[in-house]
Amino acid sequence: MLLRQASWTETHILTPLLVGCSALAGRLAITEPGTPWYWPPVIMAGYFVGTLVFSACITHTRWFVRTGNGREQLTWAGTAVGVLLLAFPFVAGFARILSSAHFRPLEQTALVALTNIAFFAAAFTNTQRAGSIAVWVSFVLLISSLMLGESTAIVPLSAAYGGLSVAWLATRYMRRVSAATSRGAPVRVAVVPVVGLTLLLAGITATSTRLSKGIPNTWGEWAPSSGGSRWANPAALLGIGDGDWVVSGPNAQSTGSVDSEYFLESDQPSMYDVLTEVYGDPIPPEKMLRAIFVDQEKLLSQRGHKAPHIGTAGRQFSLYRKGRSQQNAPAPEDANALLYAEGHTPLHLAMNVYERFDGVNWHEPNEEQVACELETRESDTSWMWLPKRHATEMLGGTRKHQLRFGRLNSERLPIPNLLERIRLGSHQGTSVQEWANDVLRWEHDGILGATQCMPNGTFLEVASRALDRSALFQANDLVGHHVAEDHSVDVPKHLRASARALADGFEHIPRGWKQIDALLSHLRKHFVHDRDRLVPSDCEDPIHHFLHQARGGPAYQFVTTATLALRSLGYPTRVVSGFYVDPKDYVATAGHTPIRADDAHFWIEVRTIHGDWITFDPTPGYLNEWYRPTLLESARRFIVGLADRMVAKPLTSLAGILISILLWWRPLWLQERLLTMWCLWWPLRSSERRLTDTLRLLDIRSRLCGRQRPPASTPLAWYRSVHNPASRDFLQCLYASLYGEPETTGAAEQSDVQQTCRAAVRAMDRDSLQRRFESA
Amino acid sequence: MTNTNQQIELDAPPGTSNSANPRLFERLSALRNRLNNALKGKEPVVEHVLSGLLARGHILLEDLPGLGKTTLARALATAIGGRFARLQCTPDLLPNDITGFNLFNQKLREFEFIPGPVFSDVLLADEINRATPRAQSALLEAMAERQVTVDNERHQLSQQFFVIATQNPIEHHGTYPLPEAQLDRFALKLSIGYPAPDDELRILSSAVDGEGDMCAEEDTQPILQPGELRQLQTQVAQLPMATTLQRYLVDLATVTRSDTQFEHGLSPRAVLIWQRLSQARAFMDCRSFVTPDDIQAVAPPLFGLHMTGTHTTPDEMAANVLDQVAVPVESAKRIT
Repeated sequence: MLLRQASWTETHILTPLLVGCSALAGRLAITEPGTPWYWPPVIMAGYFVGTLVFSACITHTRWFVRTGNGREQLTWAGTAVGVLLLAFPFVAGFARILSSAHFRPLEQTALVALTNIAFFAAAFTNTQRAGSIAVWVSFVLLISSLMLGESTAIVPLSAAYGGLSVAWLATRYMRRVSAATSRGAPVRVAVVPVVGLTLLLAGITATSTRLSKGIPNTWGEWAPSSGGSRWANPAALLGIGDGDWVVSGPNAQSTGSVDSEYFLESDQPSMYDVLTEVYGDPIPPEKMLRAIFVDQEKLLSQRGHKAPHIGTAGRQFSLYRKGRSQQNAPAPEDANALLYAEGHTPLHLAMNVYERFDGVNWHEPNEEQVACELETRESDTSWMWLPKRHATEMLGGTRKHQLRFGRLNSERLPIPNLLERIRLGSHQGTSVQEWANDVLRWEHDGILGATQCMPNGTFLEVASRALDRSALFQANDLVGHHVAEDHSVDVPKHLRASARALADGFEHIPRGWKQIDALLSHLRKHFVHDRDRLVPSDCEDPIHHFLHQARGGPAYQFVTTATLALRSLGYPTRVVSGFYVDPKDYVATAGHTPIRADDAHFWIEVRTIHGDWITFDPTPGYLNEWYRPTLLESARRFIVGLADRMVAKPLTSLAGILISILLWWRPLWLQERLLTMWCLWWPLRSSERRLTDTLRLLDIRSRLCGRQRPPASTPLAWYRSVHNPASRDFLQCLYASLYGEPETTGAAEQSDVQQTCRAAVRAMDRDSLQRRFESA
Repeated sequence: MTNTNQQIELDAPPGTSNSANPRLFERLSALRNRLNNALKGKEPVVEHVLSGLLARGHILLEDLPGLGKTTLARALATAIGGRFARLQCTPDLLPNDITGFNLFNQKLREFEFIPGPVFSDVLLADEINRATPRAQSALLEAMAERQVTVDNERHQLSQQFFVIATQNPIEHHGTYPLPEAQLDRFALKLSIGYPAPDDELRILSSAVDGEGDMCAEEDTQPILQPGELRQLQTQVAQLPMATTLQRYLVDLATVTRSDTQFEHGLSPRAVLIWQRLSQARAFMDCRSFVTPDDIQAVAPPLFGLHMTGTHTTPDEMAANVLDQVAVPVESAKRIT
C-alpha cells in the first residue's frame, strides 16, 4: 500500500510539479519585454490542461500506448505526437522566418521544444521510465532557464524545484528499496534531507544576491557555457553566443577564459571576480540592458582603469585591464533609428501618396487638407476613432502597433493602411482629443499630417484593419472602376504603349484581384530589385527600359511600372511612399523593430468601389501584411463552411451524419457487421489471412458479449468452451496455420479453409458465444 | 487471469500429425498409464514428469512426506528401463559416494575407478536437501554436462542420464537448501499434493486387493527398450517451433527480468529448457508443432524452480508473467 502510494505520489504529484516549475521558469526566461505578467502562468495552465487531457487519453484508450514485452510502449500515434511536439517549435520558427515574421532565437525555440517534451513525458503517468525522462528534461529546462532568464521570479521557482527534486529522488529511492525487498519496507519521504538541501539552496541564493546583485546570473554560471566561442547572436544573453563580446560586450557577467585577451583587456567585472574577489563596482545587468537605449558611449569611455591591489598571493593572471580600444565598442544595434515599431510585421507605414506621373517624376494629388475629426467613445476614452468606416467584406481582424518616434523629424505621421483608431501614449480625456483635432489633419486620403513635428520619444499607438487575402480574392466585385475626374487611371501618352504591352499579357485573366496579383507576381518573379540600376537621365520610356533592358531596378521603378500597367487595365491605382517595417530587423531583446532611413520604400495601392485603398507591394523581397486568422477563427470558418455545404447538399449531409452517429455510438457493432460480410464473402485472400480475419471477428463478437479475449490468452483457451465441430476445426486450422510448418499448412486446401472459416463464422455467432460464456 | 493448468485438447488437424514411429507412441502411452497407475489421480503431475523426461530435463519433486514422491520416481525409473540407481542423501554423504572414486588394486598394482551411482540411466536422489552443499555440488557437472571428473580424469555418463530428486519442504533441521546453481540444473519442480477423496479411495482399494506395498509383477518390468528413450528425446528436440513463439518466449523471459516483483529473471538456460518442455508437450499430444498453449502449460512448474519473488505460488508467478505478454496470433512462418 505504501509502495503504491509512493509510486502514485511520484508520478502524479512530484513529476508534474517538477515539470511545471521548470517550464514556468523557462517561459519566464523567454518572455519578451512588455508581456503581461499573467501570461506565462496562463500558458502553463494551458499546458497542464493539455497534459491532463492527453494523460486521460493514454489511460482510457490504446491509441498512444500499447503493452508489449511486458512493458508499455509507444504506439505510432504516440510517437508521432511526441515528434510533433518536439519539432513543432522549430518548424514554426522556420515558418515564421519564411513568412518574415518575428525571428525567435534558437535557444528560445529549444526551450519551447523542451517544455513540450517534458509535459509530453509527464503525461505518461503509468510508466516510470517516462517519468524519469520528464524529470531529466525538466532539469535541463531549468538550467537553461537560469542561464537565459533575467526574471527574479526564476529564483524561487528554482528553490522550489530543488526541494521537489530531492523529494522525488527520495521517493524513488525508497520505492526501489521497497521493491527490492520482498517484505516491502515502509516508504517515507526523507524530510530532513529535503529541508536541508532547500536551506542550502536558499543560502547560496542569498549569498549570490549579496555578492553579484544578479541571482539568476549566479545560478546560470553554474551551468556549462559556450563562452569563448566566436559564434555570435545579437539576442543572446549570459555567455551563450556572445562571440567576441564574451567579456567586454554588453554581457559583462559572462564566464570567459581568464587568460584571454578579452578578459585582460576588459574593464568590466567578470564572473570570476564575482565568485572570488570583488573589485570595483559591478554594473548590474539591468543597467547594461538599459544602456542599449541610452548613451552607450559614456559607459565605455573609461580607459586604462587599474584595479585596486588586493594582495592575494598565488594569483595566476594580471589584474590590470588595459581597457578596450574605442573601435571595439559594441554599436547599439537599434540606436539612432527614425522610428521603433512594436507589433506584427511586415508593415507598410505610409507618409505620402502620388497620383500623377509626368514620365520622370510622380506628383502628389492636388487636394486640400481635411480636418481629422477624431472622436472618442465612452468605453475607452484613450482611443480616438476615425469617422471613416471601411468595407468589411475583405477585412480580417484588427491589429495594433505601437510606434515610438526617434529621429524622425517630419510633419507627416507614418500610419498603416486602413487605419481605424489612434492613441497617444496612455493619455486620456477630451483635452487630448481636442489637441489631436487641432494638430492632426488629413493631407491626402490615408496620409496623416500634423502642424508640428512629433517630439522624440512620443508613443503613437495605431489600430488598423488587416486584409484577408482569401476573402479579398473572392470579392472581385469590389475592384474599383474609373470615375469622372479621376486621375488615378491616367497614363502618360508616350508610356501607354509600353504599359499596355505589359498589361496585355494578363488580359486572359478575368478582371479582379487575381488579375492584379498575377501582374504583380510577374514583376516580383522575373525582375530584380537593385537600387543601383537607375534609369538614365535621357531615357524617354522608363517602362520599356525597366522591362526590356535593365530587367530590374529600385522600388520606385517597380511601382511605376506596376501602377501604369494596372492603370492601363482600368484599375484606379496610386503610388505610396513611406517606411517598410522589415521583420528581419526585429530586436528580440528589446521587443521592437527599429526603422531607419534605409527602410524608406515605395508601393502601390488599388482603390475599391467603396473608396478604400488596398496595399500591394510589387517589389521582390517585400511582403504584404495579409491577415492570418488565429486558430479559433480558422475553426470558426471551417464550421461555417461546413454548415454552408450541409445546407447545400442536405441528403449527403444527412447520410454522413447518420454514419458518423453509428460510428460513434456502435462502432464495434458496425465493425462486426462489416467483418462478418468480409469473412463470408470476400474471396481474394490467402488461407492465413482468412483464418486471422475470422479470429479477429470472433474476438469482436466475444467483446460484444462482454467477454473480451485478453491478449495474453490463447484462442484455444478462450474458445474451448464453445463445443461444436465448427469451432474445433477452425481452431485446428488456425493453429496449424499460425504455428505449424509451411508444408503441413499448405496441405490444407484453400477451399477447405474457406469452408472451415465460414462454418465457424456461422456457428460461433454472438448468441452461441453468449450462451457458452454464461454456462462456462 | 490466464488458465495455466489447462489440458491441451487440440487434435492434430489432417496432415499435421506427428510422423514419429507409432510404436514409440504406444510405448509413451504405456509409460503414461504405468505412472498414472502408480500415482493415482495425478495426471497433470505425470504429464509434467513425462515432458521433463522427454525434454532431457531433470525433475525435482517437492512435497510433504508420504504423498508419493519416491513412488513416482521409482515407477518412472523402472518403467524407462536402463540402469537405475538410488541415492539416499544424508549429511555424511561425500562427493565420491556420488561420482565414484579411484581405488588402488593391489593385484594389478594400479588405480581402478569404482563408478558411483551417477553412472546410471536414472538416478533417484531421495531427500536431496539432506546432503551437504559439498555433496550436492558433486551433481552439478553430472546434471549439466552428463560427465564427472574424478582425480582430473573425465568420465562420460549415459546420454540418457536423468535425475529425479525429491525433497521435503517442511523439515529444516539438518537440511541444506539447494543453491541457485543447483536449482538451475533442474527443469521442473513439481508438487504432488494430497489426492482427491475418490483417488484416495482407489489407493486404499488397490492396497487391499494387492499385496500391501509390494508391486505387481508387470509393474517391475521396463516399458522402454534400450535406446528408445533416446529416440524419443531426439524426436522431441527436432520438433519445429514457429519464430513467433520463440519471440513470445523471449518476451516472457524479458518480463521476468524487468519486473521488480521478482528477485531475478529466467536464465537463458531456463528459457532453453522452457522451449524443450514445450516441444515435449506438443510431442506428447501427437502434434508436429508447438502452440502457445504448450508454452503456457509448462510455465508454473518451471517458474516454481527458476523464479523467486513476492508472489507466493508458482501459479501466481506464472499467471502474472503470462498476463503481461500478448499471445502472437499473427502468421510469421519461419520455422526453426
